[in-house]
This record gives sequence, C-alpha cells and structure tokens, in this order.
Amino acid sequence: MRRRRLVAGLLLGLLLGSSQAFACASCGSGGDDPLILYPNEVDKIYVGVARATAFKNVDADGRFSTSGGPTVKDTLTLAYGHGFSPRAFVTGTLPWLRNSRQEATQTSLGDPSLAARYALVMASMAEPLIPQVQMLVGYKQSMTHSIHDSADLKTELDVFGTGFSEAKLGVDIWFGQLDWLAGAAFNLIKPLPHTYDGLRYEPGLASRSTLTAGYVFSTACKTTFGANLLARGSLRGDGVVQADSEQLNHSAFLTQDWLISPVESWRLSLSRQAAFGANKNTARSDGVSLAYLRSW
Amino acid sequence: MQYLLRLSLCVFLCQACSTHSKADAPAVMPASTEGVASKNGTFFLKMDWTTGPKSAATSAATLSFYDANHHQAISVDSVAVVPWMTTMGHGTAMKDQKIVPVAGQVGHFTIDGIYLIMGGPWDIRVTATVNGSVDTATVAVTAP
Repeated sequence: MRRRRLVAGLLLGLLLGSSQAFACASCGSGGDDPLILYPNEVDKIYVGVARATAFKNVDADGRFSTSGGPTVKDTLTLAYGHGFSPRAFVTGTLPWLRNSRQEATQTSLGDPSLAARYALVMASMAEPLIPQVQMLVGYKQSMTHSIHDSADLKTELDVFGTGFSEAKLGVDIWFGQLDWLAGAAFNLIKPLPHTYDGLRYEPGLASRSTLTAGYVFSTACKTTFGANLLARGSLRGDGVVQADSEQLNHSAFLTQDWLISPVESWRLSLSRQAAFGANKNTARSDGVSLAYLRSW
Repeated sequence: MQYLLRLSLCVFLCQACSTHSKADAPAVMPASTEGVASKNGTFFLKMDWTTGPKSAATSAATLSFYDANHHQAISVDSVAVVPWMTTMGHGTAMKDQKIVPVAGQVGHFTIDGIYLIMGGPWDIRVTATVNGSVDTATVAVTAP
C-alpha cells in the first residue's frame, strides 16, 4: 500500500513537474496570449479578471502628463484552447470590458482573437538544457470602438480597443526543465489599415520582445517575472508619416502560479505598463489579475 | 468771443476726427507679437490663451488675424478650430467650442470650450476664410 502511494506520488510529481516545465516565455502576463496548452492537454479553459488603474499619459517626449478618460478599466477574459497534438494547439480569447470614470461606467465586448502555436523543438527532461521552441501566429479582429470613432471623447468611456485588427507572428524559446526557469519571445505585429472620418490610418509595424525568468518552488508553486518591450513604428495618415508618432512601452510583470490539482491552477499577476526605461506615446497603468485555468 | 468759439469748434472737430479714425483704421500688430503664418500665406495668426491650455479640462483663448505682409488686422469671414494630437493620430471633444467675434475689433475672436482630452503636444489647426480664400494656420501647444 505504501509502495503504491509512493509510486502515485512520484507520478503525480512528474506530471505536475513536467507541466511546470512546459510553459512558455510569452504566455500568461508576459505577452498577449493568456492561455497555453501543455503537451498532455487536449482541452483547456481560462477565466480571468483584471483591473487596471493609475493611468498616466506618456507623451512624445517621454514625459508624464494628464490622462483623460476612464480611471478604472476592468476586464473579464474567457479563453478556450484545443490541442491537436503534443506539439500543436489553438486558442480563442474573448474579453468583456468595463470602463469607469467617477460614477459613470460603460461596458462592451472586447476584440476577439485567435492564436496557434507549434513546437518546433519539444522540451525533454532527459536533455534539460535544450529549450522548447515554439512558433506562433495570431489574429485579433477589431470590433469595438476606439479613440478614432468614440462618441464621447470627453470621457472616452466607450473606447475599448485600438481600432485596428492585427496579425502577429512570433517565436518563443523556453528553458523550463530545471528549478530555475528562463525564456524569451519575439513577436512581429502588423496592424491592418483602417479609415476613420475619411482619413486612412496606417499604424506602424510593431514588435514585442519578452524576457522571462522564474523559479519552481515546488511541484505546485511557480513564480515568474519579466519585462516586455513594445516598439511601434510611425503612424501614417493618408500615406503621410505623422511626425514623432512612434511608440515605446517598457512594461514589467510578476506572476504567481499555484497548481491545486493536476488539471487546475490559479494565477495571480501584477504588472505595470511604461514601468521603466524610455517610453513614448503610450500610457502608464498598474494592473492586477486573477485567473483560473482547467484542462481536460 | 468768436475766437473762443472757433477754437472750441476746432478742438471738437479734431477729437471727432481722431475717434472716427480709431473706428476705421485696422489695428497694427505689436512688433513683439509671436504668431504663425498660415500654410498658403493668406494670414498671420496670433493665439493667446486666456485660460490654460489645460488637459482634461476646458481652456479659452483669443484669436487675432493679421495680414501676412503688413501685420495689420484683417477681416475674416469664417473661423474653425480643430485641435489635433498628431503624435497619436486623434482629435478631441469639440462640441462645447464656441467662437465669437470681438465687437468693434476687426479680425479678433474669442474661443471658449477648448477641451484637450489628454496631456502632451497638440496642434491647434485654425482654418479661416479671408477674401474668399480658405487657409489654415497651425499653433503648437503642450498641455500638461
């Protein structure tokens, strides 16, 4: 009986441990996709709530200035993922958003997105120094109001998106076989042009670089932290480059994962946009999120 | 007695002449005034903030239009003011803006209800019609 329990415990540890290893550098709070699937998972859901506050504008000269608009932004995110094989999976994400300013609020469904990942190189516990290498593609469809078509620019309560659909292509490298975790990800993001009020907007090509590190305290507890750099080229209006319109945002995050069973986990994340370094034409905000993940 | 009457009449007429001249002669822009020329050289614009510029709050200003060559105040048929944040590619809420000509002053307007929705550099695009020609001057301003 004792031997059976020992074997079961070892197997459970290996399973949880291997799940800890098969994460990624750009998943969770480190990048765009809140949900990733591990090789042994077929279906998985993500339910997360997040709040962003303390907004400040960062102007073209990198100076903080007054941020008009909502003072609190809440997000409920639902995501579902399906694994086709241990190497490949797709995820769909749908946010529901609430903007608040003093006593006024407005809500809206956010921009839905789809993403797919394929592991070119699978991680192996037999070779812990060989990283997992994933390719990823994604698409976000703009469906919500943005600042370009807001009906109330004084409060911006109806501004829920950027106003531009985006396609992305990226690579994610993750060393997850040891207690110390490390990884990096790089994404190219191409916004699609759109015309508002007779003016054709072409946002610049963007890149998001992510650096992540972490530590596995136990089979049930993992901490990761890292930084993102989002850089975007100049905006064009009717083909004319708008001077000084490039964007830069250095953000930081800290994430705590708790595995409460082999198929369930909780994730708490803290983040700050425009946290350090040079930032331009962006906004600083502080965020906190709590998510529940379950797989089948 | 007659001398005094003629002297009085003379003084009265001189005062009347000078008053009549003030009403008709266009104001001359002070030499130290800063302003901007319109894109096609139709006019010279001076914008003075009476309140602000503020962000996420209401500001007010005066607009003074001068001849681009002689820097004398000119008559303007219509005025439109559009604040634009070039670096981020968006405008602002304009429904409360009110442009009113200043009575008795050629080429002078007050504008109230300017609302810049966020801090940072803004281009205030002032479009005016002068003698049938439409032209635009851009005033750069930074809201805190």
